[in-house]
Amino acid sequence: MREDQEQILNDYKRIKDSLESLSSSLSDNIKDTLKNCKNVDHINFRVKTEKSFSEKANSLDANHRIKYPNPFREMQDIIGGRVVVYYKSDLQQIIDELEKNYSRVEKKEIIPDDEKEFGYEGIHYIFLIPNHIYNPYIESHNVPYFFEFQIKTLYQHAWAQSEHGLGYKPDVELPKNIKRKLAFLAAQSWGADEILSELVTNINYLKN
Amino acid sequence: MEQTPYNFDIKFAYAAWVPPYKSEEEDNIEITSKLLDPSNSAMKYFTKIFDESISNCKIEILFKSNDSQENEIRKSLMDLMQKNTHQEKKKIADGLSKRLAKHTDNRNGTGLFVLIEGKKAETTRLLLNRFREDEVVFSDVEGSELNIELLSQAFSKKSRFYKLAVYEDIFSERSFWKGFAIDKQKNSGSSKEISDYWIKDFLLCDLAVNSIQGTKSFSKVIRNMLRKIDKIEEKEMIISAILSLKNRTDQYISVESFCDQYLNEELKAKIRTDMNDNYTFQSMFEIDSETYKQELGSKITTLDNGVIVTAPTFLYDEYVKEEELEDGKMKLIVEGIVEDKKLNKVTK
Repeated sequence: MREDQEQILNDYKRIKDSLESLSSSLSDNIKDTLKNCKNVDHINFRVKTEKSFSEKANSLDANHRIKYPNPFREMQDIIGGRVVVYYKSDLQQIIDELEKNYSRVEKKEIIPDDEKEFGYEGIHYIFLIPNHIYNPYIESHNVPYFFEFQIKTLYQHAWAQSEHGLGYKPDVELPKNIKRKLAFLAAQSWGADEILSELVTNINYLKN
Repeated sequence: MEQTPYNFDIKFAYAAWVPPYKSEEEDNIEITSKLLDPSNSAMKYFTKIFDESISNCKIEILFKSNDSQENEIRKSLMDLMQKNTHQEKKKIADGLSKRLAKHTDNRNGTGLFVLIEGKKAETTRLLLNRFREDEVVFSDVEGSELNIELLSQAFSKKSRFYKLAVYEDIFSERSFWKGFAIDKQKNSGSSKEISDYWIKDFLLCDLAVNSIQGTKSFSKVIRNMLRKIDKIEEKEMIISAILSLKNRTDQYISVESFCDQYLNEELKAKIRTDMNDNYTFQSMFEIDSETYKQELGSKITTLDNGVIVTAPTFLYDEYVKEEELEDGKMKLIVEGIVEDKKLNKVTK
């Protein structure tokens, strides 16, 4: 455990209300940005719990040193948000709007490495918190510069939430049959997204 | 180790003569550079700039990322700070000078590139300056004689081509993303191509305020003021400023610079008080012309009988009711209290 553990946790507790308020402003800003996008199921934001912040602040790098010596500035997902859309074909409009409106330092399209594998899928961004929403220089030196934002389809979200809800630790090796069932569920979700995309195309064609 | 008046220990000070080498390969570029000794008389001038840099910079900048949190300049600056010897640091600074030369064309002229690293307690500050070569007249009095001479290779921060970037609080790769800049060329309305070369091409940065977000936030401030102020002259002043700015969207602006350029002191003070946030008041951004048009453009309806109804779009949509009648006719209803009515005379 880091030497300044108590200090940083107290600092975190002290600014938690400010972070919640910032998170709420960011949520409003994102909702306004995406207001003309079709088929948005929901948008939500969260601030890391004290437990989750503390765990991450104590994590070590490959050389067994504290990974985030200054966790408030270095952890880029203290505030995180997510938009969930109905269909895969709705993803692009969200990507376009977000990339026009926010400065980003990271974009990751997460898909399994092997085409024969099925698992977590989604698009993850690290965006700069727009300064007119919150001014980090006058409010507190501990308020983060960045926030994480994810884009998912309903089925990608459903799988990720269900899998997370099972509550197993990622570093624990699961038995083969359980891993296979999780992969099966992911494959079902992937398949549902694909069929829905085809249905959207076919039905739009019939409508026109 | 030299200490600045603001108690920064100067860890490294470097200067290079950077002529224009636009489009040359960096390997072919020759740079003449040196480490600046604390006893060098110019150091007093540079350390003053160093000390005042953060408070003088109005443009907040953000390193551009390749989506994997990588940026070539950011990496060079971090490497420079992590090196222990002056020679190792100089090698990296020479690389930056070559890069600057590669992005400099004849229009930007020869420059003096100065890089200073300083430390105070836990704060590390890195300053990058570019002074453009200029001609100045030098004079002094020796006894009863006045000497006047022309200096052809003079450098001054008062030049309208002066550029600066400053980075502070550099903890790690995850946190070192933002800095501040001065680009007098950009502020003086020179062409985008020439002035982008410092912030965008050389430093590989963008403005930290996204142009769409900045324009939206600016528009919100202006619309709020138009709703709040009572004086018709002040409303007219703001609307006239909005229209003037519409044709000058290729420039950096802040609410403060907008007020300085188009409004009077009284109105500026009202806006500053209403915003209650000096940081956002001073934040520079590039106007996004499409967003500006949507947020602050005008709507004009001309009827076949010669009547014209016009208002800023946001006021038009809120206060002008349009009713479609038969035969393609339209009824326009505007409600409000008349504050002013003008009759323009026809002059012979």
